[in-house]
Amino acid sequence: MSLVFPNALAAKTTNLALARGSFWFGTVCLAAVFVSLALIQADRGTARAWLVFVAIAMIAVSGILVAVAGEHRAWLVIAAAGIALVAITVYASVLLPNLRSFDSSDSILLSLPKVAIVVFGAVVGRYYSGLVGVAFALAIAELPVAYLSIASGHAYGVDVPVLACAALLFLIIGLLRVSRKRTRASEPLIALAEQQDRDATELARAEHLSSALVHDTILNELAVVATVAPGTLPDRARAQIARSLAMRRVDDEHVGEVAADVLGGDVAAAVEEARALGLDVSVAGEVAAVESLDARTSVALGLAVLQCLTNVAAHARTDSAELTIVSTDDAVCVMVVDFGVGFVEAELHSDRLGLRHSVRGRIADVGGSVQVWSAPGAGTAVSLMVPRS
Amino acid sequence: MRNDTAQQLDPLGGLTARPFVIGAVAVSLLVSVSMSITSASQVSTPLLEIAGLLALAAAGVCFIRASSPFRAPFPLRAHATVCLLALLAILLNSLAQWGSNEVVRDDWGAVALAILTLMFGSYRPGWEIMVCAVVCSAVIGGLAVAQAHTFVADVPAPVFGILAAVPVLAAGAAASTFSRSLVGSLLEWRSAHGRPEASVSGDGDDAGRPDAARASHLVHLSEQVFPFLEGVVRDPQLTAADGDRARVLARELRMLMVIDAERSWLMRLVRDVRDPQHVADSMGEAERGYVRAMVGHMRRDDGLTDERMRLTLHAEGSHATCTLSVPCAPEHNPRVQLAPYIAVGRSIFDSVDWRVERGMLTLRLTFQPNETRGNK
Repeated sequence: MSLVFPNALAAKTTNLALARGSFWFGTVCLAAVFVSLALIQADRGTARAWLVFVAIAMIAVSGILVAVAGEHRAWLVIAAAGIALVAITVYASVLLPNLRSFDSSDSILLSLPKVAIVVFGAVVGRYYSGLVGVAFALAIAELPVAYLSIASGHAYGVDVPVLACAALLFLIIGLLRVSRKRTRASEPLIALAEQQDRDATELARAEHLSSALVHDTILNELAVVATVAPGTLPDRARAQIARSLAMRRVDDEHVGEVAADVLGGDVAAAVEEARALGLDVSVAGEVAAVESLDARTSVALGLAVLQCLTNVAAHARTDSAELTIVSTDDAVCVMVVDFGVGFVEAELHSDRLGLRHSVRGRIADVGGSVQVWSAPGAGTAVSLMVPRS
Repeated sequence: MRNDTAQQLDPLGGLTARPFVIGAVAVSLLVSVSMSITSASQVSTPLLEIAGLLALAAAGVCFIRASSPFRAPFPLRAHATVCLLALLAILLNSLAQWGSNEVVRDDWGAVALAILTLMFGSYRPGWEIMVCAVVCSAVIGGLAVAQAHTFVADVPAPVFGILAAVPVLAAGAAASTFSRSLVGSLLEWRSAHGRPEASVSGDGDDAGRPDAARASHLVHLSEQVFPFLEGVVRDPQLTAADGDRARVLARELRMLMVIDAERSWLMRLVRDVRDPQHVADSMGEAERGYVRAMVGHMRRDDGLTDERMRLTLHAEGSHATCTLSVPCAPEHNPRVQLAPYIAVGRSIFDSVDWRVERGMLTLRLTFQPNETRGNK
């Protein structure tokens, strides 16, 4: 899960949400005035003002045009403005003669369609400047009604709800950017920390692989140098050290490939290595199943098997081990069994890294799992389960 | 019905919305007092009018308090409380004018609640906002219809109900749509970009970089072991000293590998880590990322002495605690800078507490270790 939403997207999604919210605000205002006028007309039993309903519908259409404007948005926004202008003019022309003489241009029945037009102006903010949209919509809504009110003998009244809506939208749109800039300053830093965590996890994985490789190679070479008698180092040992140094120095991404080159990269190569150590290894089961593994998993499994067999040779006090391979549709399981002295894993000395790094760590790195069954005097069975590619 | 809120999915968005909440509360109170004064001639019981204004102020205080990043996420209880207090204010306003109310549009209660309702979009699920708005609108409309006989306008009673309710209904529809749109966008982004690119490059900013990201055995290898073995390859004539040196190097290397294997990611981030139970290994990706971000923030804060930062982890049962403490300069108040981090932290951890005491800033995070939880 990511911790924070990127700043670059926050403005876009908030503008979209604001536009959608504004559209429904205006639509509810239009629905309310539509129903109210229908109830009033029904009560008075007159159909003289039917054009107001057409005008309300036209204002709703203008809102829909702005909301759905796609490819030809500029033309649709201009058309919506034109429709809203005509509609509010028709609406006021038809309604004003039906209002009481002391009702002014801020009558609630005039205010609601004007509020709808103003908030539809904010919908333009999806594509263009919301501030310009609201200002333009305010002019479209207010000017014709003010003119017609005065012309028809009604007083002009400052329409507080309409101006308040416009002011509120101005404030929200204008201050949103300022507030966002102030409060989201930490987003890049939190996102960076997430990135660093992923990098660190990757680094730890690389170090883990490196540890396994060091355990398999460099420690052995140091042991050779420490144990041979003073004098000339045998050519074979010298070549082996050079090979280990070369293998360790390759880039991390090539570690698997190099290991495959050296060790054969599969279970068969591991078995051959163990046999060279003097261990009698018998193999049974679905030997061909290991062929289905991808290169990385194959190398990891081969190295883990080699470590298990090396452990048998070094610690189990037996000269034989059995390898059984079974497979399912999803996984391959290699079981390494010996009938040696066995051990209690929890009691292993902390500097015994073979099982931890070269077996458990390696298999875990390729998404597999390891189980160990052992008891003093009862031998050891290690199950290495890896997923098929 | 989806219960996700924009604040939970984007805690920084909730922080962005907070100044608007404060502004909305101020505007709603200003509008209410102004309208109350201008329509004073219709008020028959001034005490009830004042009580109504006080109830609205209480709703505002509750809203501001609940939207604090230090209390995130905004709970359903706070939403209900704000609406109930505002409804109480509306009821008191109506009672104050009962029998003398002449005009429905100068009743301030519905306008004030509408302004507050607009701000719920960042904090609560869309469906919940709509349900609340419909219920409040029904109450407001009902009160207006009940007073219809005193209104001077000659229109059917239900029209008063509709006109009185429309501000809250429209604001509810807007806030509900705002919430659903934001949540939809955030969820869409999460499913498509679960792992976003950092907005800034890691180059040149090592504030959050681990102190010892490189394992010590690798340093030992490149600085000691490789040169020695390369020397052996170049000159295969070994002396007794070479044998001794190889033994020492092998022992050191083995020891460092064990230390590296035991060292958690946290120990590479902060020098002073007390984690005897290896709780750090059971922290999830989001929790680790957050601790890194917080450590990075503390390192950048000049008022904090990051060299003496200490992390203590402790687990008991199904809960674990991560305590980050760092010395804080006496004149330094880290609250404002901490706010976004606390807001984000409260969406990740079970609890986030912080305090400055005796010159020490202490941040306490509680969470469920990975082994003990299901899919959080």
